[in-house]
Amino acid sequence: MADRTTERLLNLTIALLTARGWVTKRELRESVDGYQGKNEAAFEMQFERDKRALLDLGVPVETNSKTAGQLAEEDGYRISRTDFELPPISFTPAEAQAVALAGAVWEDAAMSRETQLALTKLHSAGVELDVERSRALAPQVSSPEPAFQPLAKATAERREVTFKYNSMTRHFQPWALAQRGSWYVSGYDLDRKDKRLFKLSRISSEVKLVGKSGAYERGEADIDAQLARFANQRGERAVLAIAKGRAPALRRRGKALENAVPDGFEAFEVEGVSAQDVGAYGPDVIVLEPDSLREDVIAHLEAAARRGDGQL
Amino acid sequence: MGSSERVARLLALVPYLQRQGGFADLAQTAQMLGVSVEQLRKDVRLLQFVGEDMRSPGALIDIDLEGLNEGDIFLSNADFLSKPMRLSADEAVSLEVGLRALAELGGAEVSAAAKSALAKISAASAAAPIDMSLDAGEQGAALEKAAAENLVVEIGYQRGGEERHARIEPKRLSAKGGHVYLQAWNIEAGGWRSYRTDRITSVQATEERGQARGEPPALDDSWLSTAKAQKVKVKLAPEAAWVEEYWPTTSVVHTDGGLEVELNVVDPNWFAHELLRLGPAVLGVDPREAAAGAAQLARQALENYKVG
Repeated sequence: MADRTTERLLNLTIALLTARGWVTKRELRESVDGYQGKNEAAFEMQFERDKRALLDLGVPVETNSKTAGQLAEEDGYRISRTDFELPPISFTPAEAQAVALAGAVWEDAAMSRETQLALTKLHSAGVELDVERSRALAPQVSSPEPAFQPLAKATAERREVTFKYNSMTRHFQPWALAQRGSWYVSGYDLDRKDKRLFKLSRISSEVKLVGKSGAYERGEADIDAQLARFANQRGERAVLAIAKGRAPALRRRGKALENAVPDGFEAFEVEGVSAQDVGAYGPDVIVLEPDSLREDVIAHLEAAARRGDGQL
Repeated sequence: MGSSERVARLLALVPYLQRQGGFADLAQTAQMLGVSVEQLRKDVRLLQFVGEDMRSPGALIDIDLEGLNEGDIFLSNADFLSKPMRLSADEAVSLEVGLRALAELGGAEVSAAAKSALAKISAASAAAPIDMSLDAGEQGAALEKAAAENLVVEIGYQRGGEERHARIEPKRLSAKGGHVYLQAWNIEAGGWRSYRTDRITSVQATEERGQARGEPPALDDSWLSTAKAQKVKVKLAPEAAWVEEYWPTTSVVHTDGGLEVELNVVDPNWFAHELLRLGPAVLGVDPREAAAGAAQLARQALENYKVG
């Protein structure tokens, strides 16, 4: 069964690709093996399913839209070679090496297979790729969440998707994907009628692509601005005492000062510091200035100390 | 094996074989395509029923079936599929993300080549806007260089809030779960270790060459596994709603007074510092002992202010 379907899809592709002009359904029914001998309704259903399968694979099947009075069976179909074939592409040796390396980074079998198919196509188009040499040098990348692939496909093709998030079904137009520690997708939430950011690892169902390609225009994603809004980050310039060898991230953000500090500490001036930032480091960071931040941090720490004492 | 996947593979295979003069080794080709030899043999066999017009037998693809049984692919009469199809969205995305990872993790030359290759690929296919930020930290470039040149280095790194040192042979940078790790041979321990690169604070190169150590084991999830994890419930004020986008939560419920999240805490030290970051926004922790580490650190921190 699977063999027959594969054969039929390949033969349909070739029939549409090699035809001089538009091919009618009636002609296809006669020339493509697997359509012959079917009754009208069965053929119609099979043909529609096949057409959708090819479009899903990215095979650009075109239809010439009906003119008034034209019968459905006279609808014409074709695949334009220009749209079908990979346009000429050439790489410098260094670029070709990078492409070959990119083929070796995936730990995940499915992502790896997709990349290999891409490399096979590039090779067929005349790009010389030294895949064997690449393998030892490539960094390894673990695969993103299962939601990644369908969302990336939908983003590329500008198709609407549905999925569950916080146990609600969302209708969403994805615009862009970004990795900031975790993977996020930004886009337009059709239910809330607003721009939204979703975290991929929290999508709790399969991501379904619905509707047609090119269904919308992608907007400005500004993922960092949206993430900053989540975290409600704000802060001020502060002078901090940082324990020696501790809080490297905070040290990197600041510059060293010569202020007097307790034993085992060093002074730093850091921009954009909040009570949350300092609080997170516990005893390793002390606020020296300004007084307002110092008081905020003390209140902040007192709250954390109380929590462990069981007082609410 | 789904028909769609096979159609995609065969549409890539036919032009590939013709580029090779119609001939290829079955096993090598199967490995290249990431399928079994048996699967590829079935795929190729099927091509004898594929061609330009079903009504004229001469228009079908020719396959040498005898050769196929012996492990060789020989194909002819397929001029109508001599050029590859454009990259599908899935293929373009996989390649694109791979190239972006290289642009972030590779050395300066590889990174530049990956970026320009990416631009060409994007121009030739329907690419998705994907933005990856894999920060290998300040020392990323030095580590990458030492790995490429196979040099022994001495690193300083943070673990459990302390500065430590190790003499290592860096092997490669790898990305997992948004963090970049250095896989390296630890000379003193005599084994492979992985280090989060953003916690590596210094790299001192030596003149010494690394030895042949084979391949490091795959970065696995074992240390992230939930076996040792403690299930913790945290009640939070509304201003702490951002944690649901950052923490590895297993459940999030929004209530009138804020939110209640559940998570598996693998690293109590991480959790203590998260609670310290949130301070008064934490309304309750269950079990209560899970908050003890943070409270103790908070009390120590408050001592600092009494002295000062």
